[in-house]
Amino acid sequence: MQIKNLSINFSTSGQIIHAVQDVNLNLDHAKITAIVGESGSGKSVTARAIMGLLEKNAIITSGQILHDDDFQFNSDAQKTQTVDLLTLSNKQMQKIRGKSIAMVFQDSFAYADPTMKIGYQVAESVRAHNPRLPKYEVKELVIQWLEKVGIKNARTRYNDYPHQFSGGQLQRILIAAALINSPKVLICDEPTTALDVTTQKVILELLKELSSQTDTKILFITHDIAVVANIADYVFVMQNGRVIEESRSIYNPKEAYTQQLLQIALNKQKINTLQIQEQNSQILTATGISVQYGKKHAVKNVSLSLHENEVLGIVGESGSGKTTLIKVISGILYAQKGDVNYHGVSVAKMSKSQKARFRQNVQMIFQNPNHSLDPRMKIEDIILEGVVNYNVVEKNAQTQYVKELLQKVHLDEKLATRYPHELSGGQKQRVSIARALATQCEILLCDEPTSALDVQTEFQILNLLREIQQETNLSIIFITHDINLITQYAHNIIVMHNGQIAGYGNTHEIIENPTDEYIVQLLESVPKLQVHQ
Amino acid sequence: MEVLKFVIKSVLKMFLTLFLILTFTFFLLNTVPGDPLAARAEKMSESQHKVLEERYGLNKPVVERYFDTLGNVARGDFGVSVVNPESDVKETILFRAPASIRLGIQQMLLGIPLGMVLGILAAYFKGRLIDKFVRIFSVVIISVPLMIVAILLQRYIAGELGLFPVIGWPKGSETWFGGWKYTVLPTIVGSLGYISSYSRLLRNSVLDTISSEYIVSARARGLSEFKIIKDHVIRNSFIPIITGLPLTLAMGITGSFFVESIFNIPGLGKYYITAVQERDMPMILATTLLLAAIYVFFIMITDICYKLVDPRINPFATRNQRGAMR
Repeated sequence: MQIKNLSINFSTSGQIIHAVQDVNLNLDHAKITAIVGESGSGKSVTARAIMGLLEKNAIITSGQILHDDDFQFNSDAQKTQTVDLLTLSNKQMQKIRGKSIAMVFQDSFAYADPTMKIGYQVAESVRAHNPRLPKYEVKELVIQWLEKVGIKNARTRYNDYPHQFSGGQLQRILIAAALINSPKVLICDEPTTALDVTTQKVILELLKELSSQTDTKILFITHDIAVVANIADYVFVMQNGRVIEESRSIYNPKEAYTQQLLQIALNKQKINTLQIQEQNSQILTATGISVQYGKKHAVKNVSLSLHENEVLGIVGESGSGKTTLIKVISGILYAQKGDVNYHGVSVAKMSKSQKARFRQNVQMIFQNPNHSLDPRMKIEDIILEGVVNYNVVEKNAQTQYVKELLQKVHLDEKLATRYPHELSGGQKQRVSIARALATQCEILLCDEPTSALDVQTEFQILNLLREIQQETNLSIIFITHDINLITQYAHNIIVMHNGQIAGYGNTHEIIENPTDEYIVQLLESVPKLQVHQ
Repeated sequence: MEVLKFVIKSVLKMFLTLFLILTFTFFLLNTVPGDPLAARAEKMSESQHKVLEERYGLNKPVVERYFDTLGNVARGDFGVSVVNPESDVKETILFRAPASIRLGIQQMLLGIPLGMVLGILAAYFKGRLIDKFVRIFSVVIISVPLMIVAILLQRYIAGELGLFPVIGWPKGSETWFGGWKYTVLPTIVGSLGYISSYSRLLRNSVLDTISSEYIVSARARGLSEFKIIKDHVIRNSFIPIITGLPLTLAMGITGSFFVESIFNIPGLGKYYITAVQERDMPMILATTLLLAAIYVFFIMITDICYKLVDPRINPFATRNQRGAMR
């Protein structure tokens, strides 16, 4: 397959966006080809263009997508020939989709029909292209493939619904549905981004294994350069709708942008050797925290302590209880068992005025800045809301105070009068940080503050947090699913698994000498770049 | 076993609910000033009034009357109407219910499927002629009182063209089946509401479903548009409909007062309103209980329907499990 000079525009409310510009891609170089790029780089749009699944407001202004296969809609059937997919009608594309080119998407739960048995959904792929195949043969084929992708008890699970599977299992099933017709090309659009790292590793291995068994070529789309290094034999780098670089290896980039991406990824693998200074006192302790939802323990017997000027990382996969834990620490949720002490006072037993002080001193930064900033408030009002509430500065000093805070988070002071939707994701998250700092807090609770951001922006936000933490006396609890993210910054880390602590201690010690089996597995699963040169 | 347990539990709950409704209605009726005899008090002598009070038990304390009523209802005895002493409440209801039920069912059988089909077509051909027609039609139906539509139909279709009778309803052996010509116009008028509300509901629901990711995924598997609509869109679009459906059924069966009075149909709806106006307590109690029973029954059916369409929802789960799933 070859893509030549592809350009795609989107028209949204009168504006024209050049999503893909003059892109050339060739899948003949290798078995597994990757496109790496940030959100908005045009990588997904390119993939959808191949499938003929673009939104209605997309206009293909130029280009060709050449594809070789034996097409049956021509009179001289079964003969291999090259066609330009962009010239085909929707009816003709239906015969190619799922048969000759298949696709796997990001969020397996969203991309599986919740009301249809999974066996039927896989069988649909077969029946759409072989309508005459008898029903029992289709079923046998589906079961065979479900077993192939590692679904246990495939025959009984055939009749289960998507919600009865985990995200990783469901993604395997959708991979089976895509590969069941032995397509020439399989497009994987961030197939592991919504999954935990341990699951990601298994899915990547499955894809590699399946591609080596068949002659299916894989086009793998991702934002994660470490994943590319682990799976692809050839890589295209996209930025702002253009392919800026292509090569056999990700390790010797020519473009500055790619070099930067690689450097950030390599930096993430570094582990700090920070120690907490001994004179720093404990400001917050939690002892024996347990939270139950029904019969299920979300958090079970967790204790921790936070010192002055400490960065404490809490790492865990989805469902590990890390978000529940931070809710208890922030006083949003009361634990059924255990106690949180702030400067020696139990949060549960605080008086009204003590509680107000606690709320002022413990501030939170949330995952998605698009949801945590009121869209109808100006930036300065957002920052001042807490300031006014806790009476931090005099009324006539407020404007100056906002300016200082914006400077502190490296934002232009002119943004003060703008609304959130006029800012980029990174800028919004900076506003969230400024808002938290505005109350002159002592503890900052960060709940995955960078997971909605691009790699470069994530790097900048983390650096900003570190800078602020070193300048002031701030303590930070940083929650993340990405263990690599926190090893450069945190003094101590907690690894959580199934609501319990799998490891707690100095970052360097935990990473270098993991004592718990789960931590070993977690560290092994994280896709790594080789450090050489 | 799970299912049986659930059904038994639901039936017990249903009776408890009905008991509470009966109690509530009884005391509400008795706290409101005035009684059925008060309206006629001027025409009666003191002694006549006393005799009647005795006869209907109105001279007894409220609590005693409450227990009398409970006992009677449990035995299936709803007493006689206070306003029309010669008519037994149970018999009256049994006599009048069939017309209402038949009218309701016919309206729904015509209106709901037609509304759904129009809604699906409107969504699929969004912005095209059929979509515009459906949207304008539903606005017109909502804003024009049904009474006017009914009178227009009576005047032109029944009166001038003489295709159908202007008023009336099949009686006797034709109560449930037959006498169709009488039922055509009331059915059409009553179904308009269903057509407009269900076409709008389904249009929105289908539009939501079409834009979801699993439809993209189905396209990526090479399914034809027809198959996608048939196997994925319709089923998923029905989930929000099912929430409203049993209540619609209950409302439909419990009668449409306007249609019944315009076409002079001997149904319950008209009778119920008159009973309320005249404080005919036995009549109000019995009818309220009947309507409540129909509602509660259909709500029970909803839970079961949910399970059949959406496997994610398990009505047999405890509330805690259900909360965790959503």
